[in-house]
Amino acid sequence: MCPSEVSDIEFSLYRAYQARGLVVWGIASEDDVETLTTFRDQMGLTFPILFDGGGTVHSSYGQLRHDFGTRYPQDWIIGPDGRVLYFNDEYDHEAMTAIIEAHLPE
Amino acid sequence: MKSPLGVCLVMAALFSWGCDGEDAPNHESPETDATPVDPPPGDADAGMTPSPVVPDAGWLAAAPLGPCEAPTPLGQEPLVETATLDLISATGVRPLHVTDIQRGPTPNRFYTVGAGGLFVIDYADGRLEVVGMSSSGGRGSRGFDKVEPIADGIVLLTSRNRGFSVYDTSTPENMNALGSLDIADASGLAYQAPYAYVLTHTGQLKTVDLTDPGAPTVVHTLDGLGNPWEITIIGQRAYVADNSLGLVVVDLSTAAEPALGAAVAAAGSAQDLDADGDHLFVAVGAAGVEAFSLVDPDMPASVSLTDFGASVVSVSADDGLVWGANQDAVAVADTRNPVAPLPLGIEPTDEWAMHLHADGNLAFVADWGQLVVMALDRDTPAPAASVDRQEILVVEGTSSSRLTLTNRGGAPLEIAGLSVDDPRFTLTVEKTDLAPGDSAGIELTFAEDGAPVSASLCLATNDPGTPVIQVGISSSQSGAEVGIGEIAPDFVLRDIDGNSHQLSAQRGQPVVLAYFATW
Repeated sequence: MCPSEVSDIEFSLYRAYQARGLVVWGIASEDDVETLTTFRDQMGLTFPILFDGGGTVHSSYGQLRHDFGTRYPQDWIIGPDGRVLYFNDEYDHEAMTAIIEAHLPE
Repeated sequence: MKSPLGVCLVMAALFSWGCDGEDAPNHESPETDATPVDPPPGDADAGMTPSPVVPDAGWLAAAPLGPCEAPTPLGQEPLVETATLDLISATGVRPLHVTDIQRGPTPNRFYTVGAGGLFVIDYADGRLEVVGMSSSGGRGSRGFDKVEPIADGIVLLTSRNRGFSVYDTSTPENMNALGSLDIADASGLAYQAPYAYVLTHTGQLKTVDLTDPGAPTVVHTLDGLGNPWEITIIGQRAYVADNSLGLVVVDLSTAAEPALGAAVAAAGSAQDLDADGDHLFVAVGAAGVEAFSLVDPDMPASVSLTDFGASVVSVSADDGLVWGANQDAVAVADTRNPVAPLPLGIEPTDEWAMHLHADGNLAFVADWGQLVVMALDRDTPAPAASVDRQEILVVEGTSSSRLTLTNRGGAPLEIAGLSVDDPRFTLTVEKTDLAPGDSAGIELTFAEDGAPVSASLCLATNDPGTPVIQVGISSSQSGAEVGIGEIAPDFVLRDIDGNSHQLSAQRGQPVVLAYFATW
C-alpha cells in the first residue's frame, strides 16, 4: 500500500473515528516484524499492525474474490454484525468514510 | 533518479497544475523583460446538457493529458497578490534579476540580491518599500546570488564570480562591505555562530570563522559534495540540497570541522530546502517538492513527492504549508500530513518567480524585476465530491445501475467530465452543478451481450482535493457473488507489539482491515 494511503488511514480514519468505536487493523504478510516496526514508527501509526506471517488469513480473505492475488492495497470493512460491508483494491477514502459514518453511533 | 514511491505519486498528488516543466535549474534565465504567463485554463465546459451524457463527449476532448484526468485547474484561486514592488521603477536600477530573498532578524525587513546588487526592503502596512541598496550606479560588478542575514545590521553574501562577502547594513541607505573572501563558485550558505558554512558549486563546504566579521577566515574545507545549492542547519546537523547527490547530511557536532554524513537520493535535481516540524521539504526541479522525514535525523527518509507544476527552484515551509517557486508561478500545498501534501493553489507571477520566503499564510516572492507578496486564503470554501459506491456490480438481467454523487463541500461542485471505458455503457446524469449538500444521480445503462464486464467509470469535477473519482464496474462472473454481505472469516493474529486480536471479538463495532506491504 502506498505510504500516503496508510498514513491517510491513520489520520483521516483511525484518529477521526476511533473514539466513536471504529477498530482499524493493518495486516501484513509480506514483511518481517522488524521491517513492519520500523515502518510503523516512521509513519507514526497508532493502530495495531497485525502480523500474518504464514499468509493464511490473507488467503482466507483472498478466496472471497477471484481477481486479486497479492496486489495492494486491500481494504475491507467488516460491519458490527460481522458481515463484510466493503472491499476495495484501490484506496477510496470517501467511500470508506461514508460506510464508517453509517455504522457508528452518533 | 527514480522515486521509490513510483505509481503512488498519482495518489499523493492528483491535482494537476497544468504548467509545462522545464528541467534544469537555471538562475541565468533569459535576459528578456517580463514574459507574461498565460493564465490557467478557465472553467471547463459549463454548458453540458443534463442528459444524456455520452461517453467521450466534451470532457475527454478537454483533457489531452490522459483518459481519466481532470482538466487543469478549475475554479478557485485562493492565492492573491496583496503587494507588489517594481524594483526597477523604485530604484532605476537595471537589470535586477532578483534570485534570493531572505527575512532579516529585524521584524519586517527583507534582503534581496540579484544582478542589481543587495537591496534592503521593509514591509509595513501591507506595502513594500526599498530602504537601501548596495550600490547606486554602474553595472556588472555588484551582483550577488545568495544572501543570509545573520544579525541586526550584518548580512552575508555569495556570488559565483565574486565569492563571499560580509556587509554592514546597519545604515541601509549607506551600506559597505566589511570583509570578503575569494571563494570560487560560491553557492548557498548558512550561519550558526560563529561560523558561516559556504557551499561551492564544485562540491565543497567551506567553514568561515566570523568572530571578527571584518576579517572572515576559512578554517576548514570539506570535499566530497557534488553540486550543492543550498544548506540549512538544524542543531548539530546541516542538510544540503545537492543537484547530483540529492539530500546530504553534514555532521556539525564539531562545529569547525564538518563531516559528511549520509547522502539520500532525491527524486530530481535538488536545489533548495526548508524544514518545518520534523520534515524537510526539498525543491527537486521538474519532479516537484519531495518531503523527507527527520525522525532519524542522520537518515532522512523520503515520504512524499508533490508536483508543483514547472521546475521548482525554491521552497519555503512554515506552519503546515509548503510554498514553491517554479519560475512561472508560486504554488502552495498543505503539509500537515507530510506523507500526502494537499495542493491548495497556484498563481502565475508577472515575471520569473525565482525565490520565496514563507511566513504563515504569506509568501514574499523574488520575481525577477519585482517583489510580490502573495496571501493564501485558507478559509475559501471548496467543493467536495463523494460517491455512494466504490464498485458497481452489473448483475445478469439488470440493464441499469445508479450511482449518487454528493457535494459534501462548502462551494458549488461542477461535473467536468463523466465517462466509462466500455462502449456498451451509456451514462445519464441528473445535473452537472451541485450546490453544497446537494446530490445528483448518475445512471449507467448497459447493453448486455453476454461477455463479462471489467470497466471503469471516471468522474472529473472541480473538487481540488479529489478532482477525479474512479468507480470499478464488473459483472457477476468476476466472482463478486461472494464477499459483500458474507460473514467475514474469523481469525486471531498477534500484532507487532505482541498483543492478540480476534476479529469475532469486535462484534458491535465496525472494523477496517487494511492489507498492506511496506513496498
